[in-house]
Amino acid sequence: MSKPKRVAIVAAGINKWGMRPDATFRDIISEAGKACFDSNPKVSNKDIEGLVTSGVYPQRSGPQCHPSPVACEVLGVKPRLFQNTDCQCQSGAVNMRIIWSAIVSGLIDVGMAVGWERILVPNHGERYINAALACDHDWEQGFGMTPPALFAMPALSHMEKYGTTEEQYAKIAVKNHTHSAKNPNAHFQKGLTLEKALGARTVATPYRLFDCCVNTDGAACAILCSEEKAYEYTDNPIWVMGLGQGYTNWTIGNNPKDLTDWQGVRMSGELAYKMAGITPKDIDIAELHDCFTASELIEYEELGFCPKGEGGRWVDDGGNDYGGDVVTQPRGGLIGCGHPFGGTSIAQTHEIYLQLRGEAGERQVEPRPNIGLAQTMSGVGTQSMVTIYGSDDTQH
Amino acid sequence: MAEQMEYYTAMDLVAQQYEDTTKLYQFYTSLREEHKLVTTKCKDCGHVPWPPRTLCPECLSTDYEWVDMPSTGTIASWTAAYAGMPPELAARAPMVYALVDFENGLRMPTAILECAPNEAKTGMEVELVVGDVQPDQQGRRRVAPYFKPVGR
Repeated sequence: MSKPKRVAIVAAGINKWGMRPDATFRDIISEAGKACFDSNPKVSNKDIEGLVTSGVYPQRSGPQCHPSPVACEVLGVKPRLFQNTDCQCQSGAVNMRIIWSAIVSGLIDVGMAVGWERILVPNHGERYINAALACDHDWEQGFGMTPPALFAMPALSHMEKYGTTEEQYAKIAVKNHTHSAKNPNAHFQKGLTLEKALGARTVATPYRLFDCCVNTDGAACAILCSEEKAYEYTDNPIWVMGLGQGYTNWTIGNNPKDLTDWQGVRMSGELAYKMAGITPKDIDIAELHDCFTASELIEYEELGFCPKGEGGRWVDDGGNDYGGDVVTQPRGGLIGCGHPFGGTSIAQTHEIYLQLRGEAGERQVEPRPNIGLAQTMSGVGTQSMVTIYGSDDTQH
Repeated sequence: MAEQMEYYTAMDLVAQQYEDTTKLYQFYTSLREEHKLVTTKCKDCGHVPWPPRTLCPECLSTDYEWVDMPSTGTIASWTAAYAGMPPELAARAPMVYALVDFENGLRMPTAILECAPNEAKTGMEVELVVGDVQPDQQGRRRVAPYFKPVGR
């Protein structure tokens, strides 16, 4: 494959995430879109040639089908490329890859990714029916398994195979809540103690309440452009260095027999590292898919931050935090920020955009990082997407 | 709207199980009427998948026959879920969920009935038990392949 044209992020914005009964789909998109344009006054809504939305449940929680022209109208964008995309929790990453592809192919020069979810419908039963839809309708949904149960099984397997402890899982939740306490857009901002995490009610063994992320209402946006346009918009663009997506299977009975072997995640990382021409050692910060604490721990291993089976030890050593090998989840992750499915990957990008530009305020990683990795996943480690971003310094 | 509407399709998490609603109805007929777990076997390449298929993912043949699955298996991993289930199941919490391994190499997700959370363990032997789930739109009986500890 010849080297593709370079694509940069030149603006990014996010709204206040959390329980947002006060805000409709249009309100949520308006807030994050406005924040995105405000982040770089040189980019106007009139410049946007392509707009892609990513939302997983609009037809259930709007209800609204065909949301991309709604977002275009709300934000005053008149695109020549628009669509919605749904790839469950990877939706935002896939969204940005559609725009990336359109820029690389020359179809457009400037595109905007709008990711959101408005998922906290008033009826809790309806929320859990929605949660079950992430499984196969014909062969899995009827059992009533939802993500906590699905992701609890590899958590147990990792404990049985490698001796990982519930306390090591809980330490990941404490870290992420500690980070999100410094993020005013996060769902949770009160921090968390290990004692409180380990004393919380059980959701699905071995997970307690704080091992789980929560569904959240929220949105995030990013503007991508060609290298020809990038320096017109900013002196400090953030570059897409590598993209990779992995897939092993769909139905959970066909996952790799070793439930701790998350080949889909590993494949997505390997492809992205190869395209970026780097190795895991080059990663300064990482925004990972911590739908549950064990997910984050297994991702450390599959993305090469520590050897297989040593995720627990890496947590104990603090390799995953400020001052460690890779600062994971500086914004607070899904556990601290909440998880609006279609918006999460774009919020990860927003955080990496801020961190690599040195604009992350109280939670800025020092020294200013140069390379950041974002990963989101659907399925239990079986489908994953990784995007690697580099500061402008990495390009010279 | 004077009457409460019922959204049968949008809220229905259970598979369609009859000849007029799924090509794989024989799976459910065997389960419902013979208490037997079956799957498909490709008549061209011999591939036996879980779940059953009308199209062989190995050789793309559409010629298949039904073969018996073992009625016992062992728990590969499990969890006791106390929260997060859809309404009908929330009342039955805690539910023990598991991935069950069969001697033919296949693995399926299921719920383990008649098993307290502190009894479940990896490697435990379990056997098939056919459970009723909510009827379909036409009021017909629907079933699911659950498991329970062997001999219970």
